Amino acid sequence: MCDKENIVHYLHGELPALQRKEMESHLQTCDSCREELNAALKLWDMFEELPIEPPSANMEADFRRMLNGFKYEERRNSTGFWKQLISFRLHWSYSVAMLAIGLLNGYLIQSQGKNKDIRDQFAALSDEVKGMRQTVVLSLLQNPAATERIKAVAYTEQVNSSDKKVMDALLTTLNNDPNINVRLVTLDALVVFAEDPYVREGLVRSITQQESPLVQSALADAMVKLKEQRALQIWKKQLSEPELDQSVREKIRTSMQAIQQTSI
Amino acid sequence: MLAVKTGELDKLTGLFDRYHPALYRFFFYHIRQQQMAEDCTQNVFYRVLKYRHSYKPQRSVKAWLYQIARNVLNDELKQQRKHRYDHDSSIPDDRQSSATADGKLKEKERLRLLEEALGQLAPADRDILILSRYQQLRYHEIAEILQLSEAAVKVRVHRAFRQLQSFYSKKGAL
Repeated sequence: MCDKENIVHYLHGELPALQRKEMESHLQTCDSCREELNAALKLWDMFEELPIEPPSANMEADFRRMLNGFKYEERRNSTGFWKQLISFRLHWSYSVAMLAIGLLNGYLIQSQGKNKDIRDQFAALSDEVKGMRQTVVLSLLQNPAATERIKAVAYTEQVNSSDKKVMDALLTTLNNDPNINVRLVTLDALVVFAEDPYVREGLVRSITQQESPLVQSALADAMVKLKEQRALQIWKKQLSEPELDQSVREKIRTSMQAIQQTSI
Repeated sequence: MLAVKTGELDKLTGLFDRYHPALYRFFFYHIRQQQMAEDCTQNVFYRVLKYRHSYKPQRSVKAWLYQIARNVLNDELKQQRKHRYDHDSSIPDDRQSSATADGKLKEKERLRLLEEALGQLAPADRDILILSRYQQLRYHEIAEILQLSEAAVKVRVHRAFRQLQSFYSKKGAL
């Protein structure tokens, strides 16, 4: 019995074994179906010959670029999110902790230190806040936004100069931050801690690290303020460098005079 | 694919190596332009990354890829509304010389007619023939891609092939 509908499925190899056998034996005897099969086969085979332009050699490289780009974006987004979350949480917990300290402090003043337990708790909480403050500063100093880094520097007003981690972070910021405003703010913050020999030395060393005339001038002012003799040697060397900015050269000269006068 | 889904994005390279030639052909047969076919193929893998969380492990990766590929194709064709399948035939027009042509030219002419006949098919018919004949997918795979029953795929394949034969023979008679 003719079943022309199945011819295309036969060509596709989609006929179940039994039907395929039936079809094959039918084709032996049916001219009409054989003709139909041959016509279909002709077109069928032509499909294979349809020309196809092969993909360019760039395709694999493009794929790898796309994959790397995607991975980079994904990483950036996720760290961005976590950084934001951490930053938000730090700000939040910092505020809560400060409030708690304030309340506790008030309470302690009221009770005039009668309760030793509370005093201990206060000390513990105070340590915690110090740690938190340090974390806030260190985290914010890494923030890609200059405004956030400036905020971090502002937080350091409440940090102790004995906090070496924060001081190191500030000195690194002073020497390496790409933003001039951040460097200037950091310099101001560090001058506050200049009583500390470590910070003071860091400031002196920073003279040779600065390239911006603005920061160089501000640093010169800081040296005058601190009456820092060690700056004189460094400046003498700098004045012998022909590429030194003219305005900075002048500033250094007047600063040197100012320091020498105060030392007399 | 499961590894990709769980974040091992580099594992996508394996999928790309395995499937990109077939996907490229799928796009090329539809749109007949190398650059566009390449872009669409890249787009499939980009969407795999982007929507990797929606992949269900019980599904065939191949079917999922083709489903994405069909979506990419539809979006591309929507964007290029003016595009017509038969506008950019990859076979040079030898009809002028075909009267005196040798067997090779006649062969080219036949392929041109086939391309034109394919271009005349309804998109759904062309789609199913490309999947079944060019991509050599099994009916059950096509059923999964198109979310049809296998019986429906059988009917459609038969109908599309019949239609193609009819267009082709009409053109051949001209």
